[in-house]
Amino acid sequence: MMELLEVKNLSKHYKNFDLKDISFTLPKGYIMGYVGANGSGKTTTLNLITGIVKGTDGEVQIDGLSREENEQAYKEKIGYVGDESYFPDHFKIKHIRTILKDFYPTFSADKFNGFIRDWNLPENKLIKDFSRGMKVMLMFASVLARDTKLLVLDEATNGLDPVMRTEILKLLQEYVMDGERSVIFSTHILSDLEQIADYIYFIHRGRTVLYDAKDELIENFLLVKGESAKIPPALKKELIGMEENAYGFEAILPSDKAELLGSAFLFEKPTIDQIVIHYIMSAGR
Amino acid sequence: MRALHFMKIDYVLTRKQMYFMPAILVLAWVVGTGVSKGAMSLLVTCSYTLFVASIFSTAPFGYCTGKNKGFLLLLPATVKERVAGRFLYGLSFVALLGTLCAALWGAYALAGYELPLWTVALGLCELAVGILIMALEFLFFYLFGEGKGNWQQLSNIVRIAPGMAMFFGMSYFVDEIQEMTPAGTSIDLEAFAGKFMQAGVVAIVVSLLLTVVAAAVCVKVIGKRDYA
Repeated sequence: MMELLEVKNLSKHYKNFDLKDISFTLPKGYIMGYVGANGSGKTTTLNLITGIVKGTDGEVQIDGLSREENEQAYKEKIGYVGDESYFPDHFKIKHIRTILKDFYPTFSADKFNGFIRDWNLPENKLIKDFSRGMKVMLMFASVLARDTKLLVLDEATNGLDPVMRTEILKLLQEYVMDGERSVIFSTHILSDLEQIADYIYFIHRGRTVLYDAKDELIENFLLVKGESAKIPPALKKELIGMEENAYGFEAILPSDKAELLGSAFLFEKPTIDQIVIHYIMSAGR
Repeated sequence: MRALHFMKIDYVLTRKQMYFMPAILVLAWVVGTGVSKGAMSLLVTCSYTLFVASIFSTAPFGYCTGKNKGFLLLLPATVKERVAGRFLYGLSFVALLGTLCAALWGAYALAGYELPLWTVALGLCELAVGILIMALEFLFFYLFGEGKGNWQQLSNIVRIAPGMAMFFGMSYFVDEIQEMTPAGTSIDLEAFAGKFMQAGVVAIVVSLLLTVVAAAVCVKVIGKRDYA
């Protein structure tokens, strides 16, 4: 498989937070879900990839090219959509169009105008007067109207209505369809990842917790439920993020420890959501 | 080329303030003729215009803060090109207002007013000081930002004080000259006009060189920073 994004030992030191040794690869034509609790380092990682934050250590390459080698070509490969509008508030769509035309040789005004028309974005309003959904769609229009290799989405679908979210997920699947482009996607809406992600990278407190193909990840764990009193010590040691309530307990167990379960417990395939939540519970917020 | 595109972006960001420029020029002319007469009133008008330029040229720093500047940071360009674009904006803005002042000088000459050469030379020196003030303000805003609270108050002082000092300095100077020579012109000064002219040109060149140095310092310092 040809790798599109290669991240090696990426680290960033802040006064109150450290992102440490983040390493992963994302092949061409695939979508990676980058997940974790608030403050876990997701946005920092994505900002390091886009280059607007400088790493303390480590290396990022997109399609074999690092920012240090050729900053302009590196940035041309990236399309970024954030959780908030990054356009100057006093701009109108026509200003964005002119700037994109000036800076990106591959920008297609026709394509851009098509998105603006299809999504009913108002040409004559200032961006500060757009709704949140409109701002997100404008960010998508600005990145999809040019030739990018990697889409970096930082909680871009949060706060959008289900129809808009579905439309965006469809767009992302179309984006990677040619097998040449990839998406790295951070979100709190893990059901979105269930639908479209091929890989999951789970980060907590700036450190890697899990990183695997989504299907492998789901195969590698079991969601276990039952009565707390019946848990033998050998099993209790292996359970991850045990949550107890009046009806019993729920936890995650690595699939290779399934023989410890016996017949006293219920188990099923977990969702990504459940794996992440139980891991966060075991590590503490 | 991309530096020019960044300059263009700054003009788009600050497009609304351009609507005020004709009114400011008229105000500058009124202030100039109120303080003095003839050619020397042009010096005051010019210093007032450059005072305004020193304030308005820093406007892009205020329009581009926090999340709002993300789009510009993601554009495929280097820090050097981004900073060069901002300085080109500042220079072109000062030059634009300087050109309008020069046009006023021309209009005076066409109207038959006497225009001693030393006042033109002094006008060049004013322009040089205007460029230098712009460069120093840009250096300050790149290194320290707009800030918040008390720091923002300091930023506003930095934005206003140097230009104001130039304006009052020139008004005082014109006043002194007029007291020495009641007619408002000085034959003695005109005798040195050639030297003044040379000094004016040198001042412009030096101010441009210092602007390049200030821009280079900005590139060096903010190139290591995040979100820059």
